[in-house]
Amino acid sequence: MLALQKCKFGIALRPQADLTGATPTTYTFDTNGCKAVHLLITCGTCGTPPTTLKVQEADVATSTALTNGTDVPLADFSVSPLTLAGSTGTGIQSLVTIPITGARKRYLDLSAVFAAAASFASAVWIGEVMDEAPNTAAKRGLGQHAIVAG
Amino acid sequence: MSLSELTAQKLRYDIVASPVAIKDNTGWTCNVLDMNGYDSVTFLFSIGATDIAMAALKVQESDTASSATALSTGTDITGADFSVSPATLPADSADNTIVAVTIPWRGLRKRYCLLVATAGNGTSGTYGSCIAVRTPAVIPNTATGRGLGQHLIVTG
Repeated sequence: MLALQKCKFGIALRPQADLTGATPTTYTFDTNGCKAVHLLITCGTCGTPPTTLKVQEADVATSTALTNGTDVPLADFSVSPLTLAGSTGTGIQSLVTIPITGARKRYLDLSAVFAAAASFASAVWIGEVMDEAPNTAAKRGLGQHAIVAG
Repeated sequence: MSLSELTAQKLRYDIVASPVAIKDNTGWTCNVLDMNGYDSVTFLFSIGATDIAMAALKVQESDTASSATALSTGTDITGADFSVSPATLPADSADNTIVAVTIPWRGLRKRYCLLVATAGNGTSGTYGSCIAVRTPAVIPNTATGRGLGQHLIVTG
């Protein structure tokens, strides 16, 4: 529980209509203050795998695009040993864990292109905060955060 | 290996409600979670485009699950119902937001829990999906054990 209160969250790919053949709008994530970022991708029904599913980085970004984004090495599901999953039906989750160390750039974005078959997907960013734990739901990137007493 | 990588590998991730077509005046089909062996759960409900406030968003519990998507006589978990103040049901302006509920699993908590999420009756409705992040008592040592198809860990 405490671990997740130290995180901030963001939508990477919002739930939306059938993504057949689409390159959907994705939302960037500011890694400032994070020691690591996790991208959790959920595929609902996917007739065929996405053709692109990877994380990119840049020094500059808007809320929906990077400026001169470049691929984060080893964060591309088209590169072995990973695979562009999704053709086996509903309910596949994939997670990318990216330590924010060394030469990593400030902003991350999901790059996703879906194939010409019914595809439903969504994705969320989970940023582990390093220095200061956010003390409100808004600072965690959440609309609301209900915490049940233990 | 950094602390962060270890944290990610200590958790279990489950799809509660898959991304699906828009819902209007109807509920999402949600998967029951068996909390045996877990210390806590956090539901992350993502909201896409919406033109109506949600009609229900809460977590229930029960000693038995009647199916993979239903509890037997589920009861509301106190503090985990967004219709009860100080929480509020996500409004028609909640596009592109995430709402979360965190529940420690101890004391008198029952074994199974289920998210109840119902879209309001709008013109178009609401896109939504939900995942659960759980803290297992025994750390999973494979992607599958974490509930994942694949887990890509970038070197730090």
